[in-house]
Amino acid sequence: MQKILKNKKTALFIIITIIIAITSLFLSIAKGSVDISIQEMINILLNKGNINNSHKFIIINLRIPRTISVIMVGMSLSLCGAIFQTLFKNPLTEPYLLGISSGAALGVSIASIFNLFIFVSGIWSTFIFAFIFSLLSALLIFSLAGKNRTSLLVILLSGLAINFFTSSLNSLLLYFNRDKIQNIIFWQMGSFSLSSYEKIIFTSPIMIVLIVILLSKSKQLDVLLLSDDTATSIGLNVNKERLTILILTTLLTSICVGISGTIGFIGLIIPHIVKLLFPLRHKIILPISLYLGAVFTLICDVISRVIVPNTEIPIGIITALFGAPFFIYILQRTKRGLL
Amino acid sequence: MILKTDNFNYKYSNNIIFEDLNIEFKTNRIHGILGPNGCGKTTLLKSLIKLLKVENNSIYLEESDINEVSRNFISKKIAYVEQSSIDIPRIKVYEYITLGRFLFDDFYQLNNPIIKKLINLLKIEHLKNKYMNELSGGERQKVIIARALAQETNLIILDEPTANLDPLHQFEIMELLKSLVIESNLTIITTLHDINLAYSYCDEIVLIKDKNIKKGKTKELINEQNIKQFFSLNSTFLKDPNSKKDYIILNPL
Repeated sequence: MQKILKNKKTALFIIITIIIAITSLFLSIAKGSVDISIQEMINILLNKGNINNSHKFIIINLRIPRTISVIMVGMSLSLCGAIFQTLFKNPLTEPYLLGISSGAALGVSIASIFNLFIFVSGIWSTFIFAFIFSLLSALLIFSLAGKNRTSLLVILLSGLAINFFTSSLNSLLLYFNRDKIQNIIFWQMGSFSLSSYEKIIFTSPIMIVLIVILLSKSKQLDVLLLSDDTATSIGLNVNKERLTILILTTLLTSICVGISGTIGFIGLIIPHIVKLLFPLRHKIILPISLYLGAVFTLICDVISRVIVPNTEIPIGIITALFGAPFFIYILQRTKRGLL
Repeated sequence: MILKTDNFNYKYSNNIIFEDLNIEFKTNRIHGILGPNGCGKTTLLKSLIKLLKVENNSIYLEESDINEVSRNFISKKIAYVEQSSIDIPRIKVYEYITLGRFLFDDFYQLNNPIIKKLINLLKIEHLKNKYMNELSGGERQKVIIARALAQETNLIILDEPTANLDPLHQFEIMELLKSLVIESNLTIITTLHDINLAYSYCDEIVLIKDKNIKKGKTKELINEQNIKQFFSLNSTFLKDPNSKKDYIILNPL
């Protein structure tokens, strides 16, 4: 880390992103369908001066849990993207593009529409369903791609197939249950509007534990950059580590889907920028991806709330607007052998 | 003796690749494995390092059945260099070499003296801040060998280390392997396609074709009769008047 900070450009980059992070954090709490001035927001947070009670309610009960959710999901999706790109040795993989997120969304729809539960009812059950279906998608892609998982074409087509399949099942479910779909559709396009302290208290500890475990796998991920035979010969239990990391990453993705629906491209854009700026080991790449993932998602969430007055656009649409051109850019670079 | 096969058998589907194969790899020399394409050279190498499933009591590493020892034990005894161009990550040369320290506590150590020493030994100081995908074939092969050396094993197994290299780099790699055997007391097992390179650099040879195996000292084993039998080629042995080295001219039958 010291080595990185010595570089002037990097130091400048970090200062700029810190300024953006703080600004977007404030904007995330202050902006929305009801605009609250930064001064009033600070007063409310410090509990002093003139405070409008309805504004206080909005900030304490709606905006703060929402901002915390945005940060947790942004960090997690970015981390999962960075890890997926190593697991599949492929620069165009992330949970959304591979259909893992839509697998989780299918699980959530099934649980919500049929009021199903495993072991426990309510919110827990939704997450368990999301996890089971996303894990099935992940394992299916892994087995479909087989030894060709480093092939861009094979992995993208496998992901596309899974994505189509789970999405069409999802649409079918929603079509036959039109009375229940309004909230589900909005949420599935990616939205933090249903954030709550209850969800945060339930999900954050699990997410933090998963993030810490995944960060501790940096060394194994470094070696997973090599071919399976070379990684094995160096001393890594490749199949065990890959499966463990895949399950942990899928679990984290499914929790994100449970919180905010399917938000694409964060796991593609952020790790790429990080790897272009800091092409180092996972010990460095993963924490920076966490940080920038949170910043990027905060910005997108603010945009989703302010771009059309009095209307909230699903954040998934905003990230896709950034992400799709970025995807094409990476595809071009990959074709030219630059990645 | 560091590694040996004891009545080693290997079947792929219903095809028998090896049957009752007995080879001893003695320490501190270069062992060459030669044979036509598809004869099982890579299969043999992968079996020796347990990258393929092998029968019990058929391969022994330092007197222990390879199925009875842990992966870490094998990785501390044998380093492996795959055929070139397989999965080269976009990381810097220095970082790449350090991956060989996976089982060691100094994996994250900055300015690791072991890595520095290897970079000096292989004369690749000028490459250390380049990306792996920016290197030429010969440069890349040296760096891959440096990563294998970072494991600090006594035995290195290499699969076609000179494949796809121009003649100059082929000689450079073989000279490097020779110097590692002489100066660092290593043992090398390598598959090779080039009979002249094997003739010049290997101390011992294993010839493989259609389950036929011959093994022995290079100068005794590489002769007109064996070249005809194992490679289906005619050969003429000549001596270069300047270097006094032997070389072989090969012609189709």
